[in-house]
Amino acid sequence: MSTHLSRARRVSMAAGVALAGLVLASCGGGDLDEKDASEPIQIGLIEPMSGPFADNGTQADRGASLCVEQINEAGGIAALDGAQLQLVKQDTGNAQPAQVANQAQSLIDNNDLSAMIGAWASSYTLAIAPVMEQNGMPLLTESFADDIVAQGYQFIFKIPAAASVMGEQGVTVVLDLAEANNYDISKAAMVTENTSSAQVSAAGAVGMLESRGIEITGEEYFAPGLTDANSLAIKVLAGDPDFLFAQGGLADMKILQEALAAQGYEGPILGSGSALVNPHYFSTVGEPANGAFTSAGWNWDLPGAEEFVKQFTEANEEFDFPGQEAGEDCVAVYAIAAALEEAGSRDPKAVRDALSTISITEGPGSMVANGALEFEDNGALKDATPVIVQWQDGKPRTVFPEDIATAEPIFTQ
Amino acid sequence: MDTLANVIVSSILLGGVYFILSLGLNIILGVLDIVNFAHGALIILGAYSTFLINRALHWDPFILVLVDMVVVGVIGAVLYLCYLRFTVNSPLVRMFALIGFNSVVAALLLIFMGSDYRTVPIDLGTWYLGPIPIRVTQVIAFAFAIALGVITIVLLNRTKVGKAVKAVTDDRTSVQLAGINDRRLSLLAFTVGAGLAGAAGGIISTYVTFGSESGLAFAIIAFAIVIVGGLGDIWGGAVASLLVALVLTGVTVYLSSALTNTALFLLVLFVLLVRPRGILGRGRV
Repeated sequence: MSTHLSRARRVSMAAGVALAGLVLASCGGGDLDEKDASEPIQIGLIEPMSGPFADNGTQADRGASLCVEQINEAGGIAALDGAQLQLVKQDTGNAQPAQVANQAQSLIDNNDLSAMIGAWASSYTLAIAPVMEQNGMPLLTESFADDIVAQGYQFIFKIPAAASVMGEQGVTVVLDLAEANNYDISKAAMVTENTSSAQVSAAGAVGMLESRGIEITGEEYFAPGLTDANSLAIKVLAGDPDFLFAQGGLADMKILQEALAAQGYEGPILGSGSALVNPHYFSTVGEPANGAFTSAGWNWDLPGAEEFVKQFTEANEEFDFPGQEAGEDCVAVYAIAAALEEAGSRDPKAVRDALSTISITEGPGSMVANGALEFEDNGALKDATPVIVQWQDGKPRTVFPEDIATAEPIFTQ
Repeated sequence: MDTLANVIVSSILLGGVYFILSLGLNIILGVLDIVNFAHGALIILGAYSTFLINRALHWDPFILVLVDMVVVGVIGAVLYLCYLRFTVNSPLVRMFALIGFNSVVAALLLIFMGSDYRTVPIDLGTWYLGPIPIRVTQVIAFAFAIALGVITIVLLNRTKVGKAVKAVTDDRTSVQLAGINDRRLSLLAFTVGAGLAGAAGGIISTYVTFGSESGLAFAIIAFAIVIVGGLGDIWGGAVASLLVALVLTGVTVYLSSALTNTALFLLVLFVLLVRPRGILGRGRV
């Protein structure tokens, strides 16, 4: 075989390479910094806005959209000549995690994104994280799962506290509270859905309960989409627990809590996010919802959230208060805006570098439990602490950390 | 001992609801030889029918079960007249059409009803059978399901039309030779089957929370019951409903809820291997 190529073949190969280069350049959208201020800065929002997690995804959308609007009305990104922010939305629906990874790749390929926000479910976020890394695209996530910031990723920034801390901290607070209220907890049971973050939270909660010398009378994981919860209630109450760690989606929690109440359980329930931070929790579950505790990544009564809550409820009259994801995604939008100001560039890598150095201590960007938005090297929120919430009179009220609590916890015997 | 009694009582109540859940599927399968893959969609339409009318008119959810039956029965009749009757010789096309009907219903519900999970507000308290707590809602749901089931069985066995429908189940050719219009009977059977699925949806809506895609989980249980009870065997379906409820409840309480689907499919597999004509041995193969 000859190693010498004919002239014609060399010319055609060179043309092919040049064409491929052109195609790649056009796919990449060229240099983002060459865009002028009239062109909006695109932020990808990938969330489950339909399907079983739609409540959470649409809350994220409502919160992010409102805060993009706020920033644009205030003059956009000053460092980029007042360029406006624009959300480019992708609904994951009820897709499998691998499909969500493809959706994320497609969102990046077909737009000129500077950053992304998503993808709520830990399974989705874990699936898209490698896509973010490969594309050099910063992602701010509302996901709880510990694994998201334990893989050495450079482009992932996590707003809520870790799922394991959520479970542990929730248990600690409720146990201390029980003690202060002379409610004896010597036996506890756990019943939770078998999703990734729920399992991590539950394991954290069970570990903490055992470390406090409490006997675990039952541990039960169920697949989401319960058609009957009576049997689960019979099982977890068979050991006569004084305390329950229970977690699941809204539909499952409703029938589970009704079944628990019908089987005579009146003790405290602690969950970690999911249904228990959904604004529809009380209207769906009804009276058994009052008194339930949960760990949350964000709550509507945090300091500094007043103006956001006011604008949110005016824009979304069907809600009395914004949900957890609405607040988290508003914070994410303000974090990206601050990074854009800091970087003075739309380039995703420059935005990533700026995100790793920003420190927001006032305004909507700081409405997190510790009052400051700053990220650790691994992308976790610095000094992240879960908010412990108790449902009282149909609303989730912050009962821990004590310095920002807006309600005294109620412990019924 | 209390736990065992609790499991038995809970299974009986659940079994009653499972019976009505599978009855419509069984009738359609028995008479029309159609495996109704749209069963889940028809169930969920019944649930939404209760939800919407209850919200608008505040009618009692249990009275609405009868309304659901009519509403979903009419939807079933339209589905049959507009499409299914043309697919008599194309079972594969029919199967995909019925599966597609589920997707269409789920998409329409999502568009017009949104993604929120729905619940019908009803709480009638709890009775106690000795130490065993029983929710009144579940007792009424059970009673409604059994009453509807018994009425359907009586109508099938005691009326002329019912006997004709049963005759089609047993031997369609002889019915045609006898000059009976089996097409009308087929329409009637599909309408009644769909209506019963709607009624099941209405009953279920009184104690579970549902969304646009919630029908599938109930349809899977209904299919398992029809196979365990024997294809087209209504009494077999009744026994199978109780058995399936007992297995699902027992496995959850004594083993793990993670094993319920495995147990359900093992039960189906066991019955198919050992009693392919169903638990009473009277179903079709």
